[in-house]
Amino acid sequence: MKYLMLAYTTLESWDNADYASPEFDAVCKFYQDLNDELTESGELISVFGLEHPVHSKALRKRDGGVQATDGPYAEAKEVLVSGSVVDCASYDRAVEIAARVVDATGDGVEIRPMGSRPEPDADPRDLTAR
Amino acid sequence: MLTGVGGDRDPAMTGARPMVEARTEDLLRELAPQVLGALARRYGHFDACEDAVQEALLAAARQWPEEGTPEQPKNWLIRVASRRLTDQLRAEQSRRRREEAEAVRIPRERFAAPAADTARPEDRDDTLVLLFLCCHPLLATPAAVALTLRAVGGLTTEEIARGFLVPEATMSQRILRAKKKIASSGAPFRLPPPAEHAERLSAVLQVLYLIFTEGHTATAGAGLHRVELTAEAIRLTRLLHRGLPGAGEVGGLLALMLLTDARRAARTGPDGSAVPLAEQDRSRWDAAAIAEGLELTAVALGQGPLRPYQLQAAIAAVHAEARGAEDTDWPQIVGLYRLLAAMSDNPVVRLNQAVAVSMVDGPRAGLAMLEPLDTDPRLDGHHRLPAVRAHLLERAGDVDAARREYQAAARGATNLPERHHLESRAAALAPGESHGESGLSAH
Repeated sequence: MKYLMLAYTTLESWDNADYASPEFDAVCKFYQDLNDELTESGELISVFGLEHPVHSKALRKRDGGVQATDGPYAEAKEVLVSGSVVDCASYDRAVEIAARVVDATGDGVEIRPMGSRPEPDADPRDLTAR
Repeated sequence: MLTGVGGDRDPAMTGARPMVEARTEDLLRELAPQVLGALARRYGHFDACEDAVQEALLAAARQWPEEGTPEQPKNWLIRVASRRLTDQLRAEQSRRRREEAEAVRIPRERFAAPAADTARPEDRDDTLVLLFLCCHPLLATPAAVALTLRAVGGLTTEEIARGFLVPEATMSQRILRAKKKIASSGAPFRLPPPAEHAERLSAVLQVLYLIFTEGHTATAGAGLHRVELTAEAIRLTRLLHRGLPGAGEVGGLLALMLLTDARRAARTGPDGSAVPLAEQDRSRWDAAAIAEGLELTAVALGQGPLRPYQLQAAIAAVHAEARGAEDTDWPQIVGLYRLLAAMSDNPVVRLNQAVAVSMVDGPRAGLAMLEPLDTDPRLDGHHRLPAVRAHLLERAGDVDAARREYQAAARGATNLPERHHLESRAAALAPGESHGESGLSAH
């Protein structure tokens, strides 16, 4: 089953990150090792890091037209920092991986099972076997 | 930390770059549009990206000579500029947030129409995209000229201001307004769609030619040449030609610039006055530039459709091939001017055509061609008309009328060397002076 994992941090800790510190090196090493491990196990589909939320743009439908607003919202305390897609055997396994990330990095992680549709000819019962 | 960022923040975005060795300067100027292209493509915000790139160039000009050029200078610049952009946007957004978030409406035609180009960034040269964007028809030409020199040429505002003899603050405002106009127009960062390509290319060529002519014949001030602008126009046209090698119009413009600039050393006398084409010492023409210009002209003439720049290049090529004014193939030049005049209603073309005709059919024939131009408002107050008329009258032997026209032309000339030349011509025709057949006026 596929899960989307989204990691959040505060704007404050993003802005104050010291990229030269041993702590930052340790986080990099943690991610490197975790990615290696999940690649080895076949669970890692993709992983991504995001640029500063100042580059974000939010598009909304308003007054019958599309409107765009730049930058993070002032009221948003936490901002998305990175994410991954994993394919693992169970929800519990996904939670296990996410917990390791939270523990090592201090970031918050949200897990969302990814929706799947039956293939046209597939027997619906097969879904549980995936 | 990323290399060198943050330690040397300089709020003066328009500040002059320190003098750096030519090699570093050349590298920075070459990379400038590539780095800006990479940023604008990735983050949008063309105007903010442009500032960030200028700051990164400034940081590089400071650091590279001392600390050595990084192994991947382009990546270094992109990294530094990205950080500056992030800082800049944050400052802007936090300021704006205190007021109110700004929602911008995205017009339906932006997303309802198929993309005009979907090629991946690595498949093309962003320098071209930038040139088209900076020469956008919604900008007034002086604004497009300034923005092109900064964003594509990588010149500082101070350098551009010096080139056009205007205060730096004026130039800075002009560039700022131009960028805001581009940003607020929502013009996307991509090449113009095929239907607009020809028109947009004309706008680009016009801007490049204007930079060249501004450098070639300064419109004001003491120096007849401002070499930097001329060289920059040639460099930018080369970039365009490299990107669009099949466009005869572009090759024609590059050839025209090279053939014209080849005469630079011979165009000014030892006293600083202008030397007309017929009197120039042709051994002082730049043989390498002429050879390249002739070759480009030959290629461009074969790349139809024929447009004014190819014809102007062909005319310059005929001059360049002649050993002297008397060896010039004037009938061919007359033929080329006839084509050119049929193509564009340009009074300056008519003026030059009259000179060429006078070389084939005599000065009276040339004078007859000038008559309709007297009522052309576009030449009103322009010194070239009386200067050409004076010259033709002199050759026709009408000394008194020629002197009066030379004097009128001298009064109208804003460029000092040209004024000196015209005044000395008038003085030479003063009653009692001996005079004979003299050469052509410069063109």
